[in-house]
Amino acid sequence: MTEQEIQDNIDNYLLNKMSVAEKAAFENQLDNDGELKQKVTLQKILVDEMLYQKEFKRITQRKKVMPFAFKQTMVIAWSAAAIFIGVFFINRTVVNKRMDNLYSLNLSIPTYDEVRGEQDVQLKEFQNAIFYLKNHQPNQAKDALLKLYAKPKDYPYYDAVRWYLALTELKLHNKSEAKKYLNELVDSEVYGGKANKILGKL
Amino acid sequence: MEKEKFNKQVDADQIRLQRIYEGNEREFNRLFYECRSLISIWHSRYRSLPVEDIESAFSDASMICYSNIRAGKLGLLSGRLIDYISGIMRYKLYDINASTKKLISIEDPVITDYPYTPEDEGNIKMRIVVNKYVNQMKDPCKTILEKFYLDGLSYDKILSLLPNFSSLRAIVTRSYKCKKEITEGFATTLKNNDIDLYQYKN
Repeated sequence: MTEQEIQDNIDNYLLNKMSVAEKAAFENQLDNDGELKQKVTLQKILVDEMLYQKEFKRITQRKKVMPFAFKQTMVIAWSAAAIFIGVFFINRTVVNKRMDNLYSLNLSIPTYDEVRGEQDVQLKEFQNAIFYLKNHQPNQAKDALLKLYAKPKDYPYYDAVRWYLALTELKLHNKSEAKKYLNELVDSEVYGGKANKILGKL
Repeated sequence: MEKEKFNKQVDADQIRLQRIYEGNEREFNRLFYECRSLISIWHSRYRSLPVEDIESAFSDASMICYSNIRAGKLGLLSGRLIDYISGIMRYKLYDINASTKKLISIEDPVITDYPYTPEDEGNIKMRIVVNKYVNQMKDPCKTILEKFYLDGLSYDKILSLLPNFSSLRAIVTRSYKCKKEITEGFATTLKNNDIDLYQYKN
């Protein structure tokens, strides 16, 4: 047998390409031939080492494996967070649009006849606050109306101040503040009906 | 560490070892990343050792642990796998220090000492030599043997991957030469390191 034929036999043995009979015959030969046995043993160790090194590189270059339960929890948590954020933004857009509509529908700048009393100092103060709204300056309107908000119940524009403050908060998309002022008006003779309608829609 | 807790960890590692032996790569991936803490533990204990040497020793020690498990050389554990790897790191660092002629004492274990049997020590010593030998293999032999033994490619397919070879005959001849040279070189290396091939049971 030539050296190449011996090597072919070793390769077939190492690569498990021998039939059962061939393998048994070769192993028998190994038991009786020390030199051949040494060659096979050496080559097997080297081939195994190459295989383990290849596997080791593949395994350790992979990212750290997360335990399945932790991975599952993370997926659920991130999905829930994404859904929550999505719903929050969609809901906010819808509510803001609704508040803009309610503001536009309900805003009317009063004439002297609509607001009680004569053109005195109190009326002027109140009208100045309302005109900010007409000029699309809701922040200034809010500041001016808040100054009047603290006035006592016998103040002639007591309900009107709350009504326009509610409209201002609608314009500013402050839902909870708007609701607060509207709730103060539910029993008002003039604004009660309108306040209830808006509260139902908010 | 409490003895009961330690024993529980050894039992858990025994199950893990069985899984790795059966080819569960995820299990080894988990072990590898868990044991990476050894790098910082060793670094904090031996400040004078370069961190690159510690990292290299950790990588080689993990590789040796993997090879010994897969080859069935590590069956019944008498300590934790992390201790087993740490112990091999000590061998490797001692080896690196001896070759660079640095006089650093690294005799003490940084964590619990693994109770190696003489057989364990023989297996580790053998793996260190084999690992180094395979890593030093050069092209074209390395590529030819990897493609032939690991990827199961035929010589004509290997020929298409190595443009430096003009014919099938040339690559077959080179392959036989490589196998002969590497086997003989490996036998000499084992002899130089006083390793008896047949003490390393296959």
